[in-house]
This record gives sequence, structure tokens and C-alpha cells, in this order.
Amino acid sequence: MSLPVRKLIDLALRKPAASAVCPFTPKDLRGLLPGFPEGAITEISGVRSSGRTTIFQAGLAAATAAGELCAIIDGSDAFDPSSAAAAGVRLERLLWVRCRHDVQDTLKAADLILHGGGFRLVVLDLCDLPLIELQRVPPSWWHRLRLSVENTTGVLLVASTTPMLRQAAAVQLELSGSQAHWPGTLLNGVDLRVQLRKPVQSAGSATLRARAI
Amino acid sequence: MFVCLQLQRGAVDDLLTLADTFSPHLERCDERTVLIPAYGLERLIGTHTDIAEAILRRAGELGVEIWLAIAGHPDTAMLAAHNIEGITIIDPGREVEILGPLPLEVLPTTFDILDTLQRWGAETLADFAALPPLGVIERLGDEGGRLQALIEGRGTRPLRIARPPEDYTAQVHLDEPLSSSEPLLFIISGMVHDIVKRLASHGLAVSHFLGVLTPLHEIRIAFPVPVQEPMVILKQVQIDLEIHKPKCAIATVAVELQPTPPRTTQHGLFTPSAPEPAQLQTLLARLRALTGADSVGSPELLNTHRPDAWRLRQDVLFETGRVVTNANAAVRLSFRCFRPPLAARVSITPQHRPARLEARGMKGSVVAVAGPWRTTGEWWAETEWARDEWDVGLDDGALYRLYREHRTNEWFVEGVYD
Repeated sequence: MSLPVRKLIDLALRKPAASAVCPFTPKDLRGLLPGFPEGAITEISGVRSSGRTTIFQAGLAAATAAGELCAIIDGSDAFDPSSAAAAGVRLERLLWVRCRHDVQDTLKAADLILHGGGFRLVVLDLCDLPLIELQRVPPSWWHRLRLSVENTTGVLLVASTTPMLRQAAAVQLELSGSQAHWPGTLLNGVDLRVQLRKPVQSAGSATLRARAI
Repeated sequence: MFVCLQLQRGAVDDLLTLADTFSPHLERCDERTVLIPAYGLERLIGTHTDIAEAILRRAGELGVEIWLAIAGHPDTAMLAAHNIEGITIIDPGREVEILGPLPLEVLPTTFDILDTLQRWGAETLADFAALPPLGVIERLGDEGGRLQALIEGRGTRPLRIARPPEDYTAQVHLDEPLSSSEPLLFIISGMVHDIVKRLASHGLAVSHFLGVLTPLHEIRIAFPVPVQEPMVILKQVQIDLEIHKPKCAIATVAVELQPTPPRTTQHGLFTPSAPEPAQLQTLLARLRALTGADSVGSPELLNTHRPDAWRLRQDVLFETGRVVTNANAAVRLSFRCFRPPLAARVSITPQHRPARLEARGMKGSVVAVAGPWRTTGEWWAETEWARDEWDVGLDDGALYRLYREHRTNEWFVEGVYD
């Protein structure tokens, strides 16, 4: 009688379990990324004016419009409510935590909110925080955040200048090479170039137009 | 049976004392009239005549003059006490016989109904009671039926018992002054549990907590939603004590809880999930302890054109519910603020347009520019602003918003498009 030992090749070819996604990504990005995965971290990185804030505010707008409660942990106190409202974010469904450039407080606040539960989309905004301090954050912190959001229906978006989360992030979006449009003497909009770095099997890129308000 | 006491002469407080002598359950009908139940007194005192005499005797001792009536219906007793001098005892079935001679005007009703009854030829209550009940209800409605039932003493109603205002406070004088928060919290815990139990027995919840730790310390907590769980209140007190530690040893602890009706909500299968209000309050308290009281809340735009004008709502409830919206709406370019705005050095072209920008963390030549847009406002207030705004693109691809203050002629970077 043979034991039911699975062949190595079967394990290698086994498809990953389908995970649910929240369709809170912008329309032009859905070909590349149908939605943000539930119970996982999506990392959005890029330099200034590459469109990181535009992407996560589009997510907040879609989630709050669907009646969900969202939270933004604002590491560098840069969130602009009027810009968010113009982008479609329902401010009455948004919890804003201003951490005033304190990396430790920012991560602790994220941990508290994720453990508290009940927020569908949580944005951890690490853009403009000192890179040297962020690089000193032990990887175990990112894994703690991953475990906090795992097995929930919540989504954690982490926006930063450079990718930092490595294995803790299920999806990595990198933004670079945005192109601003200045017809005449007016900033009309920006073409954002989004590259999907992770998961590797779905890697690709897309361009979407963000209109100036 | 019910006893109605109508004050004719004397102090209202004495009337209440008189009523309280015979029953703790009393209804204040008006300023000078009270109703008490007679059941129970019959076994204690005796017949209705004995009860009436005992009450009058006590009234004499207190120095008040009253008219008294005993009847099976509280409103019938009140009608008799208001209009018949001395003691009136109405045994069941004799209501019309005793009240019948009274004129129609004594009925507690509207002028229109009295006018109608007089036009029908009724002059006394007996005349009105003699009319066929169905015909009265057909012509005068429920009010007509109610008035006839009042004269005949039909039906009944419970007394609307007047309760003295409850005191939801507690105070403890400590034998030894305490300086650490843990034993203080232990003492507050017992007090809060007791008061919340009393509140819950009256069907109430807590809206505010006030703790006075004598000397020199005070804890004030406002709950955005009514709370009925002592642990939620204590968690917030604990967080408050951790942030604001008492500066000296505490000798007396006083706690007051402000009552409010409990929260009622309608749940739905398809309503998006939201944090439990109690958990949310604890979470917000912890976040405030971490980042500061003015750093957590729901943003709200102010009704002004002033740049960066908003406030954080602290008493946020986060109402959920689906909104009809266009899921395929165009993506808008977002803006990030620098708080406070960064002071900048800007080189100007001969056409008075920015040519080069230098500020903390940014430096470069301006390759594209839009503006200026002049905005001014609130010249009547300290929040006055007057400035020229520019959108600039630097050679490294970054897009900033600059402005020049009119008053000081200084340049600032307000934020970055991202």
C-alpha cells in the first residue's frame, strides 16, 4: 500500500488560493490590479509627485462612497482635507490621526487601529518621513502589521518613498516617471505610471490620468 | 380607590409632606393638587371615612386646609376634590349621584364641547351623563366618551408617580491619601459600578463622567454615544489618569455620572461593518493619549475660502451607509500640505515669474509654471490672508504650490501635488 505522498511537482504547480479583493482601485488601474487584497498589505512607493497620494485617496474615495469607515495615519501631517474632499473622499467616514513626523507614534497608531478593527481601509502614510528613521524600523514591526490585518476583511495601504516592507507586503506598486500636462499656463493633469512589482507573476505596468482639481 | 387632596390654604410643601405621610406614591396633578392611592391605607387605618378623617387631622397639625375626595378613578376623585368642599367619599356606582348636581363648566374640556353640550340643553353633569353614550361618541368623538366615563367613574388609569430627581454621584473620603493611579482606579471602579447599576435599573445610560479628586485634580470625559458598560468608562478613566497623573496625594474621590437615554440603533444585514461604539471610544482615547488630544478625529471643512481651513471633529460617530456614487469617476490629482509652509528662496524672471526654487529638502529650476492666482480674504479678522499662488514644475519632475505673502513679500512652499 502506497502512502498518499504528494509529488514535488504537484506542490510546485499548485495554484495559490484565490484571495478576495476590494475593488477600490481606480478604473484605469483595474486591468493591472483588480483591487486591493483583503487581509493583506499593499505598498505604494514613489518619489514626490509620482502619484502615491492620488492612488490612496482614490481608494479612500471608493471605500467611503461604499459606506465603509476608513482611517488615515498621517505620519508627516500632510493630509489635505479639501483636496481629499475634492477627490471624492467622504470626510465624515474618515478617521484622521496626525502623528507630526514621529515614526514610532505613526507605527503605534497603525497597530492600535488595526487591532481595534472595524475599519475597511487603513492608510499608513509614511511619505516625507525621514528615510533613515524608517530604515531603522525592525522588519518584525512590518510583520506585526501584516499579522494584524491578516484574516480580516480590512486592507492596509502603506505609502512611502521607497519600498520597505519586503515580504510583509502582498502587493507592491511602484510609481515613477509621471508626466505633467501644462497646456498654456495651467496645470491640467498628470499621467501617472504605475508598475506592479509584486506579485511577480502579475507584474506589469499601466498609465492613468489624474486630472488637476 | 384614590385619594385626591386639593390645597385651599397653606404651603404647597406642607401639602406634599401631608401626602407623603400617607403614601410614598403620589401624583402631582397641578401646583395645588395631589393624588395618592388608598389601597393599603384601608388595612392600616380602616374605612374610607377613617382615612379621610386621619388625613384631615394630620392636615390640621401641619396647618393646611384641604378639600378631599376619595373615588375609584383618579380623575373622578380630582373632579370632586376641585369642586366639592370638605370631604367627599364616592363609593363605586354613586358617582353620578354625587357629582351630578355640579354645573357643566367644571368639566376639564374645551370651550367648544361645553358650548355644544349647553346648546343640547344639558346644564349639569347629571344631564350630560343621561345622554346615550354611543350618540355622544358619534357627535363629540373620543373626548365625549372620556368625559362621560369621568362623570360615571368608569375605567381606570395608573398614577403618574412623581419621582424626586435621582442623584448619580458618589463620594469617598480616604483614610490615607493616595498618589498612585492604580488604587485610585480601584476605588473609582467600585463607585462607577454602583452608579451604573442604578442608572441601568432606571433604563438610562451615561453621557458624561466627572471625577473630582481633591485636591487639584479633575477628570472630565464626554462619551460620543451613551454608555452602559462600566468597563468602557473605567478604561477611559484609566487612560486619562495615565496621561494626566495627579500632582499630589488624593484625599477625597467624588464621581458624578450624567444620565442620558440609551442609544437605539437599527442594524441591517447589508450595512457595512463598523467598530463597536464602545470599542471605538476606547480606541480614540488611546490614540489621543498617544498623539495628543487635538490630533485625532474626523476632518470637517470650514465654510471659508481660507487655505487649509478645517477642524477635527472629536465627537465623531462615523455614521455608515451606502452612498450612490459613480464608481468610474475620474481620478483627481491630490495635494499634500507642508505644515507649517516651508520658507523658500525664489528667483524671479524679468516677467515676474518664478525661475528657481530653493527650500528645505528641495532645489531646482522651474521648468513649467502656472499662475499667479491672487487670493485675499477675512481682512476684518486676525486670520486675514492675501497672497499670490503659483503652481510650478521643477526639473526633477516634482510639482509644488508656491505663494508670496503680500504683507511680508516672502515666499513659501505650501505643498506638493502627488
